[in-house]
Amino acid sequence: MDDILTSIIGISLAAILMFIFPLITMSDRTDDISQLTVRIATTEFVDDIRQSGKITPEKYSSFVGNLGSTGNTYNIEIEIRILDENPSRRETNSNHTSGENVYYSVYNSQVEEILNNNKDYYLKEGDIVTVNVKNTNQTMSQQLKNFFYTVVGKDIYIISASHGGMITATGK
Amino acid sequence: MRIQSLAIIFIILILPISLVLASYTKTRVETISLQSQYDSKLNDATHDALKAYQVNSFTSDTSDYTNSKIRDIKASVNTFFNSMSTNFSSLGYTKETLQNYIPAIVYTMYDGYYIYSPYENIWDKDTISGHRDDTSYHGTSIDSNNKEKLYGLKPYVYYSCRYIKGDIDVVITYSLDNYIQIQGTINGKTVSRYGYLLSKASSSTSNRGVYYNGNIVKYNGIEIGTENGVLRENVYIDGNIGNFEYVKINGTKYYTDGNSVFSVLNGKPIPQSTLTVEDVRNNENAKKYYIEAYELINFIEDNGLDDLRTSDIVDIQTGRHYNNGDSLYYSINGNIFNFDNIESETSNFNTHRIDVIKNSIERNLAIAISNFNNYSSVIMDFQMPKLKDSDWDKIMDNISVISFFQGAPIGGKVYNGYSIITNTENEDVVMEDSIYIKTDDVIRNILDKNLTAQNLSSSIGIFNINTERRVGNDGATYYLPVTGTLSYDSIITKNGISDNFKGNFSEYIEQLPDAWKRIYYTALGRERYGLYRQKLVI
Repeated sequence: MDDILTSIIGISLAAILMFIFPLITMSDRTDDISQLTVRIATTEFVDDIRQSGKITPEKYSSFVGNLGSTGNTYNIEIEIRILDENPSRRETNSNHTSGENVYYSVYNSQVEEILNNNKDYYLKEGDIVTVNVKNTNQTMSQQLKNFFYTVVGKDIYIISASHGGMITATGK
Repeated sequence: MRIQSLAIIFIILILPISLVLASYTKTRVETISLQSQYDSKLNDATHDALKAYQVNSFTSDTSDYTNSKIRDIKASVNTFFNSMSTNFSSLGYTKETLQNYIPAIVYTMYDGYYIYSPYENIWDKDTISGHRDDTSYHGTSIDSNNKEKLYGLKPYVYYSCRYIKGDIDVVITYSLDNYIQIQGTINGKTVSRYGYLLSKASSSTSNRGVYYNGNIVKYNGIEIGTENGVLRENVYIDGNIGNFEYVKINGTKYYTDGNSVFSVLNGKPIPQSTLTVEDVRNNENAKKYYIEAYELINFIEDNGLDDLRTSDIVDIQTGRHYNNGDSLYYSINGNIFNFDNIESETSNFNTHRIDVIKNSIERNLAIAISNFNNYSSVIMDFQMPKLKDSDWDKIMDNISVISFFQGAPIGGKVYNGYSIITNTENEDVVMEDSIYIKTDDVIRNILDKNLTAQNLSSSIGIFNINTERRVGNDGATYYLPVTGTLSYDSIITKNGISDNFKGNFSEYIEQLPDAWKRIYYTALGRERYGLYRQKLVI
């Protein structure tokens, strides 16, 4: 009786070690690679916007495509802080001191509205763009780990990238 | 063997593999993130350099002149290194250390470019004997500074190309827009001509090209006239901001208060007697721009320069024709100067112009970067990276700064990056999109969808950089040459750009109503003609 019990425990332990453990390790590496891809894609996307001063629908969809190629789903947050010189211009004009610039922000929905009409979103020198990317699905390694120990809550992401900076040339 | 033992062997095998794999991918991720950090820092430093150039040239009254430009560029280079060493301060990089990693910084200007890179300061016997006739060099000996390693700007290189065909032997210098300079000999006579190239109208009613009959000037069917007393600007004089009528001639603005004409240098008025008040009020720049273009077309046609082809290109020094397939330049079918539609982006002229600029930069830059191996203490083979087509587009767009950063170790590999930042606000060149339209108190982009609904009679075309903030000579008074609210539709954001704009400026302008075309063409001509250009008049 004891022998059978030990065998069962042994077999299940061996199964875990031989199948689940490599699976977790491999899926962890996959996530690392995804992380790498996501980071490169985000940096390239943002740097391109900064240098060209515009977001074209083609660039945006190829960015989304690049992210999608990792097999996960992502939440992309774009924030553009648009430099509004008018308040500072009024101040400069009236009392000959340098007025302060004001920024206001636009987000995904405003940008996507323009891109969806197949038009370029133009920016000007001095605007600031930030892009945040986080995965929204549970990756394989998250699911496997969840199976053993529940550290993963609902909103926890393990693949993320963020990049931003000032636009250096007015787009045209 | 029991199954448990198998499991243990399995673990012994798989554990090290997974550990090594994990650390390898981690290094890769770190290298990549370091690389992107370096890219960003290089971009930021290059942008800082460009901003320094902008600020310095805006506040200077003499920024058009070459020595002043060199000063501004040197200041800009300093800013670049300061910004780089601040960004990399955690790594302990100073300017001197960083110079070992920066093979070249290129400032592409309007009709040529500067390269900032190291060179040897030669002061040897040959150099001294070369100055035999100059008494100030007599008795100078070879001093310890001979072959000293110096960093600095190399001489200005023009975007030029030499052509020989029959009696024609000319060097043509191209620029970022349609301005060209022709120098050389034609039929044994020395010539030096310059001007903007435009299409030629076939008749007075033609809708394309420039037409001039000695009295009436037309461009694309629109008559260009004199602007009377519409141009006013704020300027800092003796501690006050005044608003005066002005005209810009060869880079200098001449103002009038109705009684006298003066220019402004370092915040002080300089009386000018060569111009009258009427000359300032009646601005003929636009007319002259189109007349100059018309006369240039005639000059080119009369002297047979319009027959030049890419096969007439010769080596600029030896004058030797290139053999078949040997030419550095892209061959074009047909004549380079074909005046049917020279403004088109795909015209022979523009294709060839871009080719000349590209060739010139590529050749000299490759030499500068490969020579850097002799100067840098970093053991690495410095090579010029291949610039992408999109990079060249940026370079052709406007004047720009290109910086290279190579040889820094970043984990798994050696960093090799470059950054191209286009300067979209400068006084050196008037691009097609540099013209804003000011109606009453609102300044709009020419692409604004509500443009044609505005009051025509109170609208005027202005040069966009005149809306930028300036600082007076006391360093504390700020003012705007042109005041007004920037349009939220087309300048602050560009969400209100007309649907008629499909990416091509001249096509967009052509579909505007005639009156708006006139405003645009007049402003473009006026501002381009007013720029400072080196002119060698023979």
